[in-house]
Amino acid sequence: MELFWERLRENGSIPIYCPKVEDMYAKVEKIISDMNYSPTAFYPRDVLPTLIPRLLQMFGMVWGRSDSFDVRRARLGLMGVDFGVAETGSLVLFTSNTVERLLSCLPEVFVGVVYTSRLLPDLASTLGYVSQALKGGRCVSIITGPSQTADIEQRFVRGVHGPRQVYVLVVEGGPAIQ
Amino acid sequence: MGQQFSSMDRHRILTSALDRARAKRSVRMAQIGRDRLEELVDIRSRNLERLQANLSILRKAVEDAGGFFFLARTSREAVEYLLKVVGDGRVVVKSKSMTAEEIGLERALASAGKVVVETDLGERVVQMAGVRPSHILAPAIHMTAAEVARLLSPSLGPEPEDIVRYVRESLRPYFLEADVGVIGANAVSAEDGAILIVTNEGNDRLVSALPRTLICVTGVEKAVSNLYEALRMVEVQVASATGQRLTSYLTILTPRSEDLGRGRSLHLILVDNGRIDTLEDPEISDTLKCIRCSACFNVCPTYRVVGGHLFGHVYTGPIGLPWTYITAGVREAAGFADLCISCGLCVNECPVRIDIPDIISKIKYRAVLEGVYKPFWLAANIDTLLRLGQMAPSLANQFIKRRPLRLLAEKVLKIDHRRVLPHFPSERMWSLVRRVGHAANPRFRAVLYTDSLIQYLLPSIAFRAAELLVGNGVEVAIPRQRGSGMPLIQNGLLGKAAKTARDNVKKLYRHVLKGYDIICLEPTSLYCIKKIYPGLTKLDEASKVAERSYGFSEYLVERCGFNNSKKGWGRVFYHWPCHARGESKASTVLLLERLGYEVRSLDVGCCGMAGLWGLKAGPRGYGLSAEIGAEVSAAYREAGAETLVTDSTVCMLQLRQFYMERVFHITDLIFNSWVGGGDG
Repeated sequence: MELFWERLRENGSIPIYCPKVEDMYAKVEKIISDMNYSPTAFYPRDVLPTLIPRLLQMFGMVWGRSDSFDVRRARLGLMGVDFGVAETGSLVLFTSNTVERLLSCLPEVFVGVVYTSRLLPDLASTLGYVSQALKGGRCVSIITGPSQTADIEQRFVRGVHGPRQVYVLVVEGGPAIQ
Repeated sequence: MGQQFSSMDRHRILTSALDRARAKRSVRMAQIGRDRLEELVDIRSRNLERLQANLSILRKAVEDAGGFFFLARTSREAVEYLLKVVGDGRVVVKSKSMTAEEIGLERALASAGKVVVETDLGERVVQMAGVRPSHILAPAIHMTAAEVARLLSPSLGPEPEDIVRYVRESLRPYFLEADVGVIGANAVSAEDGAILIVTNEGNDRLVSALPRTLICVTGVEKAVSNLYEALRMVEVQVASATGQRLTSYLTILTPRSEDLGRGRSLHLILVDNGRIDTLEDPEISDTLKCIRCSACFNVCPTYRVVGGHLFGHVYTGPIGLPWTYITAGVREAAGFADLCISCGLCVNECPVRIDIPDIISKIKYRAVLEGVYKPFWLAANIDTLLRLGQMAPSLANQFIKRRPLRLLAEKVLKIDHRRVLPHFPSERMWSLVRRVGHAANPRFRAVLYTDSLIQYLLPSIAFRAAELLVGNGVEVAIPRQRGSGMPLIQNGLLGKAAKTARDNVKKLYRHVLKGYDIICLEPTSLYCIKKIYPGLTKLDEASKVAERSYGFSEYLVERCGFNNSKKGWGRVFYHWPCHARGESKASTVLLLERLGYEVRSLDVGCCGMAGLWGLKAGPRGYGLSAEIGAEVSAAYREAGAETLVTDSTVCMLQLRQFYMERVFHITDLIFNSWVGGGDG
């Protein structure tokens, strides 16, 4: 957990700790209102089922269901991810349709939510899950920090084609890995 | 475009970019560690051996998953297939792929009336500038922000932030509209039919998620057995390329991922284009282990100065030369082969330990045989010329001293008249060394191997070296010898080089049998004996000679336990010759420290002489050589040292060109400062 935290900061992500699931709402609300990242879209994934009705109610968020229109408009994408990888500070995302994936690609800001029970030590230990996910028709995205480039005079700039800000809500507990 | 930037400015932009990349990389590579690199070398070799099997497993996996697999024998086949897949599609977005460059994808699509939009920032910039990428990872590494801004839009300022925002906003509609997306692959797992792609910008994700048709174009060598191997490959690639733990995005997908196979489709084009034949060509086949990290670019002395537009065809940089040979042919490779000066620096950087200069020398050899590469005449004849000069030193010296004669020499021998050369001495090495005394109670016996420059032009160095060795308890023998043959190797004259090498090995081996060590006075000779002769001569004796061979400083420090009782001689700048850089710390630095000097040095940087290469008349010899040397010069000036010292006489020639009176050979310094105090 400490390593995950350190590596997230190292790669330019912004980690936010939530001791309880309920803490998440306030944190999300703050991100959205501070930066005025509206419209916001999220994807109803099984990773964080309890989150959905509350957020809908609180922010009147857009559901990125099956057509991608809403996702394209969204300035912030919010979504539970499947795993966190401590050694690289990465989020592992298995997606079963492109809209779901686009939610972490198109908006300016991406908020990934991960349970501490879903943290893995390193990339190699994701292999079994990745391979399972691929067999199940998922696309695997491993996200390590914001979108960035150093193509112009080797100067770092964020937010090229993907989000320029990545928040990671690390939520204590959660379902154990099967 | 960019006329206001002098070549020096451009050189500085490029070198500072490469230095930063190298610094970041070395930290990360140290964390990766030796075991992981060994593992990767093993993964690469094993998978190349089973490439055909991998390809059929991959085909099956892709097709079973509902995707389309196409093995393109040539660029043409690849392009034809691609055009068929694109069909009526109008807009094609692509994320940077060197293999797409290789097959000429963009030109083919454009001439079929398609709108092709590159989405990688750097690659987009060079696309709009209408030039080739000058680096395989950072295509626009040669341009300033101001140039980029002007190119994109007249109203755009030179702030990278603004440039990036502009590109994000202007490319977004293309992503959303595109009919076809083209991606490359960093690795492909045969078992899973899975493609692995890394980017930092995230363009690959949009290209692979939005258009209805997705095409992945990549070289056959990217196929490995399973996901584990693919992941290992990608990890080291990222570490070695950018020094990151992982790029911002790693995408892994198969033909059944998400809605591919349900309304969307994935085509995997694996490009052969000479690669499969190369597997059967042991002199070149190691190239296919390459993971395209571009670490070799960072240290290449000539690439650092000229960049990828001169140093490259489609593929640029050191490893780009063998890649060009494989995919475009010997003629294209020969077009820039002279820019490899056989310094050997890239070998130490390569994470999969490809002996790039060795492969390049083989390519030069083939190019010479095919008549598409003209070696430097002097390379084949230098020993003869030096022997002639020695016969009539005063006449030869006229040719060296007098300008009209030098101009004549430039015309006939192609030796640049600006090059300052040493004069032929009145006394030959053989008679000089006869005066060397004998060690009272010798602890070691060694042959002093001098190489041609010392033998013919600077014999006093051999004399001093022998005296110093004797003073440190070494009985020294200096048998008749030939030059190391490096100029021949550098020029692709491998037949002659092998002959020279065999001759040297046989002569030296006779002494090894009698219990002699071999001490090489010139770092290049040691490099030849240790790294090149065993492979070139294919003689068992060559490895035995190599085992017993040492550098001069190394021998004094490691074997003789050299020390000096008087210290405090002040600060010197040590120029570390490229051929001695295989050692983790220069023995000569240790020697200088024991001698009592404070040493400053540069951990990268070639003087630019490169043997005879820096003698060559014209911009692609002497001219470029001086530009390369500027880096070492600048470091020397910054170091605040009076004296410049080196252990290669070849480097010394170049350094003297800049700082005549302050340049010393290591033997000079020992002679002046050593008062005894060895442990013997």
